[in-house]
Amino acid sequence: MTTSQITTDASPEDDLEWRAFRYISDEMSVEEREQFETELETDLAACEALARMAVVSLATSQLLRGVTNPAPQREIKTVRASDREEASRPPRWLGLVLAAAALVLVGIQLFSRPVTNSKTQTLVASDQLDEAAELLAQWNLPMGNLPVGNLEDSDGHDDDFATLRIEESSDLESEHSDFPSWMIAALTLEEMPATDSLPETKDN
Amino acid sequence: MLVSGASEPLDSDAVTRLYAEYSDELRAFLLGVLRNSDLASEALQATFVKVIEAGHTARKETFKGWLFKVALHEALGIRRKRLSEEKQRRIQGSFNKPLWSELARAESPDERIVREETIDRVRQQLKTLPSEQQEIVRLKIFEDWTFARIADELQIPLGTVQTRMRLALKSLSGKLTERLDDEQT
Repeated sequence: MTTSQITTDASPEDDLEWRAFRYISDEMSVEEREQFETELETDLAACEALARMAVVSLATSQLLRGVTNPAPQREIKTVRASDREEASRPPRWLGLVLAAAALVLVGIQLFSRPVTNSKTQTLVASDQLDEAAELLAQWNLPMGNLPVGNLEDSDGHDDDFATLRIEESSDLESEHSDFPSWMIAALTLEEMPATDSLPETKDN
Repeated sequence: MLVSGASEPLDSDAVTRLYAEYSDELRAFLLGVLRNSDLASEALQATFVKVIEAGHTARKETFKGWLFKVALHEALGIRRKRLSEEKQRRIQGSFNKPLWSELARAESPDERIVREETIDRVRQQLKTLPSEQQEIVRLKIFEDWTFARIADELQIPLGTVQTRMRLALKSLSGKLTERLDDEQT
């Protein structure tokens, strides 16, 4: 049974329309198509049926694309749009890595500060407050007035070391003239108690 | 009717009125034959050139038949020309595709041939169809499946698929004919 033979209670017009539809939907064999085109040349009803089926098909196609399609299309478009947004955004793991890196940096800074602070705290805790006060008092003095002799403390150290330091600092001063001499001198003095005058450190 | 076997060529007013009366239907017919909106436009233009040249020789009572015959000859001539000009395989492919798939892909403005009121009528009629017919229409025209594939996918006989499609088309076409009848009255 061929497809064109399914014509139960079909009028000739229905049959024409059916064949016209099969023609435009490419459901005909080559022979059937040629036969139908021959018929079109002689039968106006066949031409009209073809025009009618073309309109019905196009209208239905347009309708289905406009009515059936919008929801899925919108979904697809949404998905695609989100995909594009996702693609344009940096991946989430990158944000996490950056955040972790930032935390590590902050951590490093926090760990480095306590080292400096611990020195200061050690200095303070080692009953050197007076010396610190003296140092602060000398902070603004010119290097020439620096009471190097004060460094001859109870520990019995001579001032050779201090002199050496001052000489070195003079060298530094000549090399780095940008730094005020008093600052270099102060830094030099600061090193001394840190190494020699910290009983706690010595005890430990 | 403007055409009456006159010896003088038709004047521009007569051609304009003939165009207004027949161009939509002719265009749909040509789209059905050529499955290509550009070629259909070309064939339509060539047809009305023939109308200008020889329309006055057609008999009044058979003018529409004459017009469609001319249009078909123009369409087949254009198709033959295209087939010989380019690789037959490539063009044959485009001529062998369903009408709607070709026009849908091109998103052709020729779909304007379907007026809004026609679409509304088809929409209304589509809703009244039994769901099994609606499904076949959707699979055939929207999904562009062959009848054989529809039968295979739905696991129903091919004849059932075709019968459902045929009944749906009859219903939709009937609604379209109503529109034409309304316009004539």
